[in-house]
Amino acid sequence: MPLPFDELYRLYATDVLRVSYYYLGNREQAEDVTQDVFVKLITNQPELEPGREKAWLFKVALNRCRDIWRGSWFKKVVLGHPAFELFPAPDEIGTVADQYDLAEAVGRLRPEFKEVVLLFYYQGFSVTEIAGILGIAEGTVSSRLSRARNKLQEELKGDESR
Amino acid sequence: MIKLENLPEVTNRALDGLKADESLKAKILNAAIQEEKPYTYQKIRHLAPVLLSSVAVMILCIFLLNGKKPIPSEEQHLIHSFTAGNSETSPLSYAGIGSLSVKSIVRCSDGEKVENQQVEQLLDALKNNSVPVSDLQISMDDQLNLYDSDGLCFTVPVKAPYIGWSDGIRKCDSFFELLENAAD
Repeated sequence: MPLPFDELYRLYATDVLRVSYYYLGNREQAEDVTQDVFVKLITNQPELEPGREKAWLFKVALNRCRDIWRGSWFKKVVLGHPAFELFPAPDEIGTVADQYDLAEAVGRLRPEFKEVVLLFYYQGFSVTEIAGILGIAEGTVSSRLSRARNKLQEELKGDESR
Repeated sequence: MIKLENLPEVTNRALDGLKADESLKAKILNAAIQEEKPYTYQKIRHLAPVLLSSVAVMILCIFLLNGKKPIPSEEQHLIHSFTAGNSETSPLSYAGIGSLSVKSIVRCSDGEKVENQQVEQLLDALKNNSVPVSDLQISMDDQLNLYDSDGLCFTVPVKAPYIGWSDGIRKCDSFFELLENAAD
């Protein structure tokens, strides 16, 4: 029996929003993506196997993010100013400085690396699941993860040495 | 240095203020309601070319068939024959040629009656295509008058281009060819 919209929204909407935000670096765009994903869920009523709902939501979300990312307006206007704003809880404001480096470094990754990092490290999908969501081979997922890790290591080392 | 494995914790802390709240949910539900209508329209719009094509084909068929009376089902075995340049002759039922009850066949060229034996042969030829036309001693230049039991006369030029149809249109060079095709 498929989960109702309310339940799916409660379980996954914030994750979809945050991943979209990570991807696009723009809160409004991320909210638009989240809206599109859940509107599609309501209007298309896809037949989702139990346990596969989250993968479907992220697949649609990342496709939508990619569409926006590829948009020439977005590239010109937003890519030129990739401000990664944090939205910490009020009592966490004093501890965000060290978190900012990693979050910003992930946010600066190229889209194809950023999406595998977010799905693997942030959302906890397996390599096989990521391959299914992104429609690419498992080997490609592993390779992108490895390259993303190296890239992040370089970035964070550079930040430390500054 | 913070490790990638800590990304969920880091991100959740860093983006704790970024939540899919009730206002976003309300926006989604509103958008979904708005979307339902266009979705139906989209489906119709998607079908529109197919519907328009069907209408166009129907209109084309009406134009093409304009003036040509469709054959009613009870006349399906009738062959309406035409001679080139002439108006339509009376319809002859070749499928039921026996019911025509041909009493006599007259060569119009010389007014000479065809012998009874030849009438039978001709009838056989008409019915079964069993007798070669060459054996009928009927010249291709002849014009035949076929009289039925009611005295109705069907004038049939032997050598004339015919267009007849039962299941489909056939163009024939002679009356006999028309019959042969009709017997198929």
